[in-house]
Amino acid sequence: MHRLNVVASLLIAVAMLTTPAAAAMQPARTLEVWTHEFPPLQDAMTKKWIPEFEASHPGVKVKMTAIPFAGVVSFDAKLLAALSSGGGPDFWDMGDWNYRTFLDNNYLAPLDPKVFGYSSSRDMIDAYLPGTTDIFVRGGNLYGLFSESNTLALFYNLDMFDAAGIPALPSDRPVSWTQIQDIGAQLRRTDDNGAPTQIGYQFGFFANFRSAQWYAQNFYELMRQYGQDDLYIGGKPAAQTDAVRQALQVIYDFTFTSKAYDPTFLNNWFADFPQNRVAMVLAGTWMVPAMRANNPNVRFGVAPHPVVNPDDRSTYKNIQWSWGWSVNANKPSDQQQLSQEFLAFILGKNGESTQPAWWFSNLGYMQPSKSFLASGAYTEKLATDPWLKQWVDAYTTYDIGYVQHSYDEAGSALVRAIDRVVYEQVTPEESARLLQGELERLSS
Amino acid sequence: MSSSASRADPREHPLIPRETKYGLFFVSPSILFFLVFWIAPVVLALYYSLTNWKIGPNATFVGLRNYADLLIDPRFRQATLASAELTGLAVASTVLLALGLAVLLNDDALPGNRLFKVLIILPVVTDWVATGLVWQLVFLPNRGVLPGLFSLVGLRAWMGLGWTSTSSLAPMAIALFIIWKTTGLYAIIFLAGLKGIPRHFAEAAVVDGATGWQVFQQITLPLLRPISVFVVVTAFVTTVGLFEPVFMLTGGGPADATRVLPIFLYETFFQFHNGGYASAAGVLFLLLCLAFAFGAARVMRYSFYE
Amino acid sequence: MRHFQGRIVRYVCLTLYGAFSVMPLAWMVSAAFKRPQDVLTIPIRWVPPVWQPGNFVQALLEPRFSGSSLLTFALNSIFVAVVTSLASIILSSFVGYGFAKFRFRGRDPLLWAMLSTTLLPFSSVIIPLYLIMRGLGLLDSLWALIVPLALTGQTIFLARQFIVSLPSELMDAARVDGAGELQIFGRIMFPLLGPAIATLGILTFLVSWNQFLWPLVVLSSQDHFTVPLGLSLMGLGSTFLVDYHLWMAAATLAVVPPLVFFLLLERPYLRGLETLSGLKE
Repeated sequence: MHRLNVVASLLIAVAMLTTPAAAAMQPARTLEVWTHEFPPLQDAMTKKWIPEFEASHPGVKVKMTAIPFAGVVSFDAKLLAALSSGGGPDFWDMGDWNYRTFLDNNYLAPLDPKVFGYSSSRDMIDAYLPGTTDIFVRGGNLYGLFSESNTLALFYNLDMFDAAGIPALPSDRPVSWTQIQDIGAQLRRTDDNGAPTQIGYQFGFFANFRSAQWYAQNFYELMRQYGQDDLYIGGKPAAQTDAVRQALQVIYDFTFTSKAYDPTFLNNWFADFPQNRVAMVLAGTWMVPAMRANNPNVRFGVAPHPVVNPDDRSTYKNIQWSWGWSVNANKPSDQQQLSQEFLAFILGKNGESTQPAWWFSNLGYMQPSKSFLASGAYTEKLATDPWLKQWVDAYTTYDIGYVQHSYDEAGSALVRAIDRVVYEQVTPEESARLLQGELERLSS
Repeated sequence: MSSSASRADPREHPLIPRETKYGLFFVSPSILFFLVFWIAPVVLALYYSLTNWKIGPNATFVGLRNYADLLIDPRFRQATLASAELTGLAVASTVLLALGLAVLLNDDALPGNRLFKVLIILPVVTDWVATGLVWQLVFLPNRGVLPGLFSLVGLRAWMGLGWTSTSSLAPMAIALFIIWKTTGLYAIIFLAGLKGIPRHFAEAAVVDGATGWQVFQQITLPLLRPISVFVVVTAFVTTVGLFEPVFMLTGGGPADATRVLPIFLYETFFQFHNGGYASAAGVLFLLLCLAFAFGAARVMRYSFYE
Repeated sequence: MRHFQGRIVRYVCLTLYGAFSVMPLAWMVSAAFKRPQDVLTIPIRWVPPVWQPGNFVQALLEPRFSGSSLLTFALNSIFVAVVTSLASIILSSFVGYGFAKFRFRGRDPLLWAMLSTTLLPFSSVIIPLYLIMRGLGLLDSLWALIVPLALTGQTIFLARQFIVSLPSELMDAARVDGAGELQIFGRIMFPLLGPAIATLGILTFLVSWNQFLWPLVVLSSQDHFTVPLGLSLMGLGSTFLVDYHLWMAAATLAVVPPLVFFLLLERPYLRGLETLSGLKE
């Protein structure tokens, strides 16, 4: 009995010692922030912004969590689950597709223009390019502010192009999807066993990266270029249309006809391209620091977003998406205030352009803020990296819009429709038919 | 209170016998746990399954609508089929393999017997995620361990197979992972069962001229019936409820090919925030397992009447 | 002669399966020592051409999970598993004693009810369980991981089976001497439980350490994550970083504690399994 006591006490002591140090030095104030996993963003926060904010606000500690957003453990789901139970972080960044639901459920706090140096919300909204803040606005207030705003342009690997003798793509005129596939077919290389060693094109979704956002984006840009804006027309499911079928057909052709795309070959979003395993990919400005981390010497060119028909301006459609920083409306008001101060600190107040310039040069994160785009910092950066123009020009050259369905049930049905085409070689007609059935069932 | 020696034990309550009082006292934590962690969840699931609850605070009664919707929902049907396919494949293989291993191990004089036992149990004590990371790399097309083994034996054409991205192959891949991870456990249980069969049964039969196979078929197997039922039921219930191996290898894809019931449930609530629907699916899932368990108990009762 | 052939067949079959059983783990350990470029080579190199044991240090200590490292997760896992095992030992013996040594109406149906819970898959009740935890205010805390596993049908059954086999005379004698029931439990019964404690301990430890779905549902702050949950942040489709050698090093570290425990307590563990299948009456 005695020995048992001793053993039990020892074990309890071990347990006590390994207890996470909740009792340890508790700082005066703690801010909890969640971000989606994007290594340059995490580095920016942990290496620069959090230390600087903590230094200028003694007694405040900022705790950051990064959550992967592809796969079953989805960032959005965790966020919504936490908020719906009254918890969650003090502030976070999230994709534009969440704003409608979160606003409907009153999870977001309106941003106080005074904290950001504006006299009113109207002024704050007007500081950005028209239309870009639409998804953050409700009832005249801003509920989110840009972490980044994105469109897509085409990166292509100059080393791989040169090695195959393919000339650089024009930078003032988009090429067609057919041309992309031709180039892609030329750039496909296999080894003696027939296994691919390099391929031509990367869609944003592949076997090891099943992000609903990327499935939706790459699909919607095609569907819109073929003339249909959304999977629903007039509120009714419209998947058995020519536009949807044609969009799926493009994806089918990339995978099976020209074999420019190979979903099981691609492995790493930010390493395959700079390490010369894939030659072309649609991405945003954030791609540059991310891929340079995997190959500092990558040589690339940037061309405008491909279109169905370069001679027909009505096919010049591109998509945009934004990540926005938002504040938890269910936290005590002093926490909310501190969160907003942090955001003003990292994003810049009215008239400050050092922060947007920093985000832009270091992460390629663009704020469509009028003052930033007119600033010296921006024009200097443009001089050193002229290809950055592609993204800014896109706002005028292309018809740009947000994607309506990605992470909801309709988006999930779209993912399955594309999976059927890509992994099971189901014909576009058949897959579209099944998609229509699923969408109709969802609406009933 | 008088204290004459002839009086009953003073701790005896006049109405409640001591044994009952203290028995219930000691057993009470389990009653509490049972109520909080089994009865309450089932009741809650039943309750929410009859509402249209999403994720917020509102829930209105809608009767059996969720159940009706589930039964005609092709995705729920697909989840059930995927579960049935994966579970059937994995359980059948595991049980047969485990039985075979137990027979092989049922020889105490075999040198190295203990080592073999340890080797086959090793996967059982590990966790699904750590080993899942390994098996992801086992199945990686063209570069993984399995393609490496294929190239070793000259099956180069098979190296490019997408085990986890092809709907016809993915269930087999996951089943292989499950078999690897769980067979050892059941082998040990079968072994204990075999050891419990008195040797003179088999010996007498051999004296009467029976072959080893006949002995196995007509003496050993019937005597193993109760243990077999236990193993099959346990294997079934465990496997059908598995989330981890599917999550690690395919996440439910491609499309819905491996979206088994646990993944369907998790997704419906934690991704699509459809609480009432998910609760109804959970209830149906429970009923399915109960049905299987009762069916197996029936079989077991039958076997005693032979 | 036939006997010898039979032996050979046994050996061959057992060796084949043993190899199958061990191979993925062996590959994992070998990959854990490799440089990134050596992990996935065709043909497979079982012995690393260049040994890089630093992988383990990096996998354990690098704060790659936004400030948390595998060590953080390991400490959480250890805390949860140890506390759960201790709680389970005490509670299961307590309850098992009640079932084993006392007769009362409804005892056997109640025991069957406890056992019946093992017939139902946990993943079917995660949603209401999540709500209950939310109601108790235990979401995102390690206690949410400890409490549900502190007492299970299996551990109750195990404890009961063992206690049934203990002689009742000691307890009866103590009662005659006027000892209280709790004293009898603590001073007389519990010390006799030695082997059962080991079995309960290792079974609960393994179940607690290896759990994934429940922590996935219940935890959201990364610094509360346990090892399996932390590991799931790695892996294909979960992360942008494809540093396989570190994944394998982390996986190796993750299986070491359960393996060590198992090897130390192999006999009680196996005996526990046999008892659970109803073979040891």
